[in-house]
Amino acid sequence: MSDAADRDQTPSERSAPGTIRESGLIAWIRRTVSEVGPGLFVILGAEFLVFWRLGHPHFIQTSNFIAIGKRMAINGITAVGETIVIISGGFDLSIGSIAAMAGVGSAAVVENGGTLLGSILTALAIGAFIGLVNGAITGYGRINPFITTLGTLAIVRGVAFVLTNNRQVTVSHEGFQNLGKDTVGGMPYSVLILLLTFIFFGFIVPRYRFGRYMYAIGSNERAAALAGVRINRWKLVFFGVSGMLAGLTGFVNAFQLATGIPSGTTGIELEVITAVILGGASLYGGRGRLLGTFLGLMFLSTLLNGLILSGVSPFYQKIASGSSLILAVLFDEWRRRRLARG
Amino acid sequence: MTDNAIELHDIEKSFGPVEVLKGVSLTVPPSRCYGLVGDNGAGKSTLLKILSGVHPRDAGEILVEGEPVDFNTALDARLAGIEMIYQDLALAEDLDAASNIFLGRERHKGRGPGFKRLDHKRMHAEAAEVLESVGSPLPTKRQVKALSGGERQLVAVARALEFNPRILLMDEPTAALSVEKVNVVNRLIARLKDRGVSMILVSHRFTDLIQVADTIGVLVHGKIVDEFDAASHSMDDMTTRIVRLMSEAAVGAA
Ligand SMILES: Nc1ncnc2c1ncn2[C@@H]1O[C@H](COP(=O)(O)OP(=O)(O)OP(=O)(O)O)[C@@H](O)[C@H]1O
Ligand SMILES: [Mg+2]
Repeated sequence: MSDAADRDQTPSERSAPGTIRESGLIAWIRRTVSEVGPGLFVILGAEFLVFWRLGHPHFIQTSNFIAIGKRMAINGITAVGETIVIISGGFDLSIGSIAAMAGVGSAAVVENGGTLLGSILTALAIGAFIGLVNGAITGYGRINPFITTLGTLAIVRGVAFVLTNNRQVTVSHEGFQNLGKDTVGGMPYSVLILLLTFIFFGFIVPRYRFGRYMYAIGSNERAAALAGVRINRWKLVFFGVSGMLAGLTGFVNAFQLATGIPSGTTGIELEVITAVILGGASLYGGRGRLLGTFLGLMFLSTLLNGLILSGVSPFYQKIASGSSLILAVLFDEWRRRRLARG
Repeated sequence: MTDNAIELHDIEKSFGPVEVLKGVSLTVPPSRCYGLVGDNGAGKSTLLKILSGVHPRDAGEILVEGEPVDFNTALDARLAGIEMIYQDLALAEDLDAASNIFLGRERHKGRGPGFKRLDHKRMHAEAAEVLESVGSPLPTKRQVKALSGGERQLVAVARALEFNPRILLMDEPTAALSVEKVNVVNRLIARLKDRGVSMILVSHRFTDLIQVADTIGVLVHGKIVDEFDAASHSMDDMTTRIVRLMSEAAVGAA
């Protein structure tokens, strides 16, 4: 009876997220391309070619790719959390503020004689705590996540300013500084943490209830509740994870700059949400892939980097991210209608 | 044990100013099917949802197998062995059929507490089996949004059956089904009764309802206005009786 499940399965079978299907690399790639949308791969390729020319000779260089990677790390670690929240039907605007608060906190710990471990745990704890608050308000309080996290965005930023009196926390702790300078086989720590975060959650999502419920709640919250899924608890988990990863981003940002900056990472939610939507997650929940987010991040980080190397004024960066966001949402709408039509 | 499977005493429910249930009492003996009919908006779904823990009741008492119960959530009812097939099916469309069937009650690999991995293989195999038993051997890996209306309905039926409920509440489980599939479901209901499952079945298809229900209750404007034993009446008799009651109600309301 065990092969009964595979009955009638054709290669063109549309697969559902959150489950493991046929194994094999080719099958995986085919599935991923079809779920994330082949468009993103094409756009990404085109983007590389364009900047190869326009940004010559600075674009195609290892050092530049490392710069892109470091930039991707800041947005990317927290983008994993944002993807989780968006797939589950939520939204998290507070990640930039959380990252700043956690960055300041982790810098303060090492500056006051704490250990590196204490520093990172502080960042994670600050993030997780604020995330849990977000989750509790949206879940138990039944407040729209957009409003909830817009509120905590302001509150947390304000608290960071109050606690520091808007002074930066410069770090002299050597181990902390070294995290921003050293590499593992040429790979900066930030990029390593980025990859590990993606790999960890990429492993969890298809294998545990965490992933299953993230899609189920985003797809039909009421149905999940009727089936017996404890929705509000899971919202705590999803927002908690998002907060924790925003905290991790704050830690990474702090060691890259060897400073905790209360006004840092302002507005990163714009780029992060853009990357998530570009990567195929639906604003309506229930749909999206971590790999899509990764590609969306690559696209956006490369775009912003390439524009500068091509001699475009940095003032245009915001215009480019904002336009990408709107285009991504338009694309999401278009894709949704196309799927609805079959 | 001769306790009744379900006893409802004077259940009342209002949504704001709208009185939906005005003192509903009914009894379902063990291994019996209670058929509930009534016009649109009579309160049938509301009654079942009170039993399945979705809505709290305003007044009245619920006994399940002789014990008073008070469900606060759908999970409470499921844990007490009560499964419900919702009128709107309550499926997560982005998930596949098997994931929906096991939603909230996933099968895991290994034992013990903590973080257990989902057992996809087992869930797909069991989902295929239960779907087969409801006459719908569809691919368990297909997303629900890619299924037809009837196929979705059978996924909802399969989900209710997978967990061997002691009490099964069915709100229009055959509304979207072909004659052939309705017969499959009707046969299933008969088999479940033999296995000791007690049921409440809401259906607008009188002729099918009469075949499987032991008792039929007619709900009009939040009250059971008539109740009769299906075995002791002819089919024509019952049909005329139900139609007359419901048209009277419609005239009364107009
Ligand atoms: N959640 C709710 N909030 C407010 N009113 C509700 C709610 N659920 C049901 N009602 C109202 O209660 C009444 C009974 O609804 P219910 O769904 O129980 O009817 P029904 O007998 O199942 O009808 P149908 O045959 O159309 O399924 C209707 O007038 C409906 O508008
Ligand atoms: Mg109804």
